[in-house]
Amino acid sequence: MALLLWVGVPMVLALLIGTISGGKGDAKPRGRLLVADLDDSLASRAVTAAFAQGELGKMFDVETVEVAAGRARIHDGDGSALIVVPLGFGEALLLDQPTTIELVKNPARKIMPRIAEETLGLAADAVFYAQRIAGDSLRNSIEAIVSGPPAGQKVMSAAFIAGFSVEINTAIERLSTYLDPLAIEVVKEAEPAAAAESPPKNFALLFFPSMLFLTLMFMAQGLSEDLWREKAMGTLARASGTPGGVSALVLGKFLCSAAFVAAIGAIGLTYAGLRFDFDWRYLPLALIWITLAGVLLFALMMLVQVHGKSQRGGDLLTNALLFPLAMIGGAFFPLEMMPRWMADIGRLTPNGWALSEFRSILSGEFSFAEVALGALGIILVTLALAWWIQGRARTVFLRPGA
Amino acid sequence: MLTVSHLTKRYGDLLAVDDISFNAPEGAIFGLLGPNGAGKSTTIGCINGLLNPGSGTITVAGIDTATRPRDAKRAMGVVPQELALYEDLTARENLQYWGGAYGMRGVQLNSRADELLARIGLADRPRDQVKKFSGGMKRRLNFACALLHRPRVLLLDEPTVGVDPQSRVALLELVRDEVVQGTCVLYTTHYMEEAETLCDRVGIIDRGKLIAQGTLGELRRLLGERDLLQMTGAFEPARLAEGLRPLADVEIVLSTAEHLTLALPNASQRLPSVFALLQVAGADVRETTLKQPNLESLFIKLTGKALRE
Ligand SMILES: Nc1ncnc2c1ncn2[C@@H]1O[C@H](COP(=O)(O)OP(=O)(O)OP(=O)(O)O)[C@@H](O)[C@H]1O
Ligand SMILES: [Mg+2]
Repeated sequence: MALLLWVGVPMVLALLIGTISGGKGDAKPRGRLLVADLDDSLASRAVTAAFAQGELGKMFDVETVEVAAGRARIHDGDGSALIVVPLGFGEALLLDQPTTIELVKNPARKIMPRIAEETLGLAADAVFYAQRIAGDSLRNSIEAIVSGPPAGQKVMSAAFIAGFSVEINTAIERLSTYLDPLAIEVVKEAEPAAAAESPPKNFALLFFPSMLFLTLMFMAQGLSEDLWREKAMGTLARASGTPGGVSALVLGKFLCSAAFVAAIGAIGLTYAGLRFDFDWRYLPLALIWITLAGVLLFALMMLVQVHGKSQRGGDLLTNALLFPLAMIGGAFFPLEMMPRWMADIGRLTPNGWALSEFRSILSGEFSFAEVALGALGIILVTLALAWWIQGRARTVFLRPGA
Repeated sequence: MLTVSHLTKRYGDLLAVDDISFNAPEGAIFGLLGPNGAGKSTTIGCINGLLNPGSGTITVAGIDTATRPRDAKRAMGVVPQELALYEDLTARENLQYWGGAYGMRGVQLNSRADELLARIGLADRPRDQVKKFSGGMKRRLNFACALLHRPRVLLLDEPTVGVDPQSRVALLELVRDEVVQGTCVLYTTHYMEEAETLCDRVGIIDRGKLIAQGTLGELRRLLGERDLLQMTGAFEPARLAEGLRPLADVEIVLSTAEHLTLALPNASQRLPSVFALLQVAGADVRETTLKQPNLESLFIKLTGKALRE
């Protein structure tokens, strides 16, 4: 059941994004985007900044304008679209009130306004959930964890830990609000009568890999709890009496996770191949890459688990690792749409690095040598981690104090 | 078949197993009898590789567990004290899993699993998940999972704890079947009756020390055919030795202000004279228990306390 959830949530996101961003693409066109930011808050800047980053930055020139001037220019056919961020937008987000971004499209143009519309929707939602996930209580909890238990107290109180897990869970639930179109409504005006065109595959390339990685990260985290279950059932201790010992069991878990990742990767890539018209030639390599990356993520999570003092501790630690890594590593929100400095940091995370490489494989813009070297690196690191994990699992993890 | 010599194991400051040595022959059951926390599970853990022995050597079927752990493990089967089963799998799948862990495959594995299912009386429920089983059924399955690969040495850690009397009889029957086939069984228990009825040799363990070992006959002789007389009341320990001197063959096993335990031959016929002397020595006896010589009284004699406290 849990597996369905980890795989399910991101997959649904991927499907939705697939649907709105649609299939085949043309060569990159270029558009001029007019932005009237009446709010000029952190949140509003984040929304508009989305257009200036990475892939999108190549598609749009963003120009800040006054509202009236912007409307006039769109009316005259100058510019792809006008975005009007209302005053109080950031505050409304913080207070969890509905708010509206206005998008005025140029009826004379086709593709560019459509891209602007979709990006805006996604960016607005992303800001929304980023705000919410890092909402006050969760932020406080994380700060408390980082700064340690209050003075005079040896460990975090059980109530605190319970509260923290509740926070994490609600944060995940809020992720689903991300899909709620009411949260931030993009009002469309002047919809052209023309039939909907197929948006380019850049969108798929932007969001599909992120979603797949998010799936993998949830999966890796979930699978990594397994050793605790084996310990609780006594099967881990029993395994230590068999000729292969705990090491064989850990090896089995790695093979099992590889099979899982490969299966999910195969399903995702087949879907993407059919839906987004990716080049089939690159998909096998992409599958190999994502399988290796998935197992590496699993190894990382396992390593954290075997250093946990209890199952709850292990879960807390892996979750505390999962969310920031996913966030900064571009699994929630593509690196290409982040500010450059953030994306640069993101690419230094194992998942962020593997994700960018995965994206280049899918797009066909990669060098075999680099991928091969990367794969070798993943394999070596994973083997080293596996060695570390089994050593820990059959000693301190299996019998603390002995 | 199973030899343990000078085994010592510490947990931090606690000496859980203290210089234990014994030899369990094949085709026989060696019982390790001791109260909670005596070090029974720790001893078994050191033998099967769950724990690293601090010092000492262990050989299983002639194989040193320290230098050739894989081969030693192949020769052993372990039934852990706590259940160790996959609750979501069926009985048959559990058997196949653990058989597989010992390198068994294919037809050989499947037929052995079916044979064991029949022997533990679960042949009619091979496809039920273990979580739907009763406690006794799980215990029997837990036991069978150690037998797949026909181990020459079988380590049983209190296999009958929490088992209803019927399942218990069935389990002990299974153990005897294995012994008949030449298996060497190490059986830990804190049930004195179990050790007396089941085991060929018994080692008595307390606080990590093996305080006596031998066949039942040898152990009884250690007690010198003397009965144990346990009394509670008010005593003056300082005056007792002097007061009881007229009875030359009486031994004071335990003596406190509230408890007194004596070991003496033919105690039942000599109660009046014992009480008369005790009264002179200022004792006020409120309750008396008389025990025939058995493992329990030997344990009391050796440690000064009851096996089950
Ligand atoms: N992992 C551990 N860390 C620290 N001390 C331990 C550990 N395991 C056991 N002990 C201690 O070692 C001693 C021996 O424990 P052991 O489990 O071997 O006893 P036992 O004879 O099997 O008892 P029982 O009949 O209750 O199963 C006990 O005092 C116990 O508290
Ligand atoms: Mg025990």
